[in-house]
Amino acid sequence: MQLDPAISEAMDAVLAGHPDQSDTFQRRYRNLVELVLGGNYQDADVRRVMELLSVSLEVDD
Amino acid sequence: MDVRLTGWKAKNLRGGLRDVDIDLGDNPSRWTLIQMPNGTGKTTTMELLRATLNGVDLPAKTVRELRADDHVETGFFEARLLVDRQPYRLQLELDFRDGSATPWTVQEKERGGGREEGRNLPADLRTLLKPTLTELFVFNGELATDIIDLTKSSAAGAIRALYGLDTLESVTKRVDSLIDLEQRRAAAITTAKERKGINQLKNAFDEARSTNARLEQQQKSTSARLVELEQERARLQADIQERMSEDAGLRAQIEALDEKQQEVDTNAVDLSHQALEALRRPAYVHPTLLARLQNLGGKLYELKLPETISREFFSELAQQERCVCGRPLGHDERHEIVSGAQRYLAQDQISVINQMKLALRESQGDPDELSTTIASLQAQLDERRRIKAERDRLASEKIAEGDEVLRKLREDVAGLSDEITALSGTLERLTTKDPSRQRALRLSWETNQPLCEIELKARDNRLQTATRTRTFSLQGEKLKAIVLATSRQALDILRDRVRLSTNDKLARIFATEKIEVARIGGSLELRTAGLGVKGGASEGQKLAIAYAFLTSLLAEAPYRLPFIVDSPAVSLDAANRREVGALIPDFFNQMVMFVISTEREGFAEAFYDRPSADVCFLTVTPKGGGSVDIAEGLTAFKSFHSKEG
Repeated sequence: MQLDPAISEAMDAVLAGHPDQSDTFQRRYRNLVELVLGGNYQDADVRRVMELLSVSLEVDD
Repeated sequence: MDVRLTGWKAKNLRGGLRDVDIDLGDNPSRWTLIQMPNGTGKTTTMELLRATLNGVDLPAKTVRELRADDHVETGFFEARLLVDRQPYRLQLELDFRDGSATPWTVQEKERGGGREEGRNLPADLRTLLKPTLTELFVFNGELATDIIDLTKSSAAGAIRALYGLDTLESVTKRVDSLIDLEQRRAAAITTAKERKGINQLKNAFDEARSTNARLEQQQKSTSARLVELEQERARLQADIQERMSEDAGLRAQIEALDEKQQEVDTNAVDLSHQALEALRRPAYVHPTLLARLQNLGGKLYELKLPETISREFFSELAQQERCVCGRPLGHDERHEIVSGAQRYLAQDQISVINQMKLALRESQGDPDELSTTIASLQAQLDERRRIKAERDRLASEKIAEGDEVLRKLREDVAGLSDEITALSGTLERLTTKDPSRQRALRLSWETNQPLCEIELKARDNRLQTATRTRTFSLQGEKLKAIVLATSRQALDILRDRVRLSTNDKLARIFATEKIEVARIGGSLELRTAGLGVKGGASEGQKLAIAYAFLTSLLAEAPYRLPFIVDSPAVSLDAANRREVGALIPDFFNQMVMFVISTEREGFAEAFYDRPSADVCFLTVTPKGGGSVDIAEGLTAFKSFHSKEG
């Protein structure tokens, strides 16, 4: 399914605010959004994208 | 994706829908105007189109209220669609007795088609056809008011629904459930998932690690000291031996004892090997064990393995053109057979198991051998103790005769032996892995190295698990934040895009009073050009604004949807009606309009001069007894008169 330009533009803007995240995450995230909007995604797709995110354990609770 | 409505059918339903079949054809006209007098089922048709499309369960009360009369027990409604030129029939079977509504989907295609219970549409269309969106294109007139009601969020809700932003945000719920699942899995090991808990686990792990290092150091120094003491004792014992051998009277006795000692040691070594060998052969351990092995072998022998159905059989079958039952094998069947073959034993595994069965059944041996060997070994150890006692007795006699050198040597050996015994005890406490000894000596992970290693591993496991869970949880929170930010950002972009497009249409509809959308928050915030915020709008203005908004929304949506509307111009004044009639239809690929005769003037007239291939005029007239007459064509449409007219 082709993404609406507004969604692509929104993703570009949001991902630009996360330069610390890998290219793989950014690619997989775009792919996940396409799957979600196509109504065709599973928990495994979400988990895979989650696990690609780099986080700091020092974040305050 | 292109979705078109090709017709609908109703049976035994209220409001004149006892037996109605509207067929818009396989290639429906772009605009269909259906003239129906009030009370002939327009509202019910709209409700059932929405219910059929969105697949939401109908309450029993609603189902019963759809009943045509007391003489019917069941009813039926069917919406016919073309989804990317693929025909689908979405049906609702209504049972007025129990108030149930069962959805069915009929898909007409060469393979894999047929009638199935439930809503079986392409996944993205199924996601799209939710109540919030269905109300937009099977237009609910109340939305016209809600869209500009500042207390409501219908406008933003419509954008979110159409562009799937609400679906996108539902990912956050999936993330929550994944985190919850991970935390529940980890809960068996540790409940710590926040930074404070992880720090506590880290401190606990460090404590166990430093204790383990301390115990390891103690063990090394104790072992080294023990070796030194044992060497010193051996040296002193050699001195004692030498001293006693200097006595000619004792020499013969000592030599005899040495010879006997050598023999006993050799026997003890041989018997130890023999006992260990017997332990490795279960049939030699105990008569009961032998009997049970033979019994197990007998039972296994009765349970025959399927020698002809081995993994290889299925592997070979998957390469055949046809199954053994004669049916042809396709890619999916082959894949299933090959993956199913893993559940069966391979031929070599079957062979090994058969050998084990045979060996068990034919287990033979002397079941008393172990106990006999251990008794002999015990006798040799007793003999060794007796020899030592004899040596001690000879040394004591010599000391009693006044040999001070020997006394001193023996005292030194005794002192060393006490120290060795104490150190051996310390070393046992530090190193024993025997659970019964650990219990008897009341050892803990802080005093016993094997227990400390177990504790260290457990604490490491808890720390690793909590760290993983914490990381996963933080990753989830971050993903949720990114998803929500994407949705918010997309909504802002879409709001502005729809606002500009809506204002463009409003400029053409309201030629005299310039009304425009200043902002789309939850709803449309209006302003009058040059005068600022607009406080209220007439019913006609509301409808025109709603149409301008909806056409802007739907025209640029990723899906081409039919726009179905009941009495689209009834509340518009004549001037706006003409503008709406002239402007709005061009924004839809398909528009189905239920009109009453009073809407012909101004609104329906706008379609009279459009190419006849693009417009379909239907006129539905009640015939009495619940049936209707459906006339097609402009002439019948224009000449119809009803009480509304």
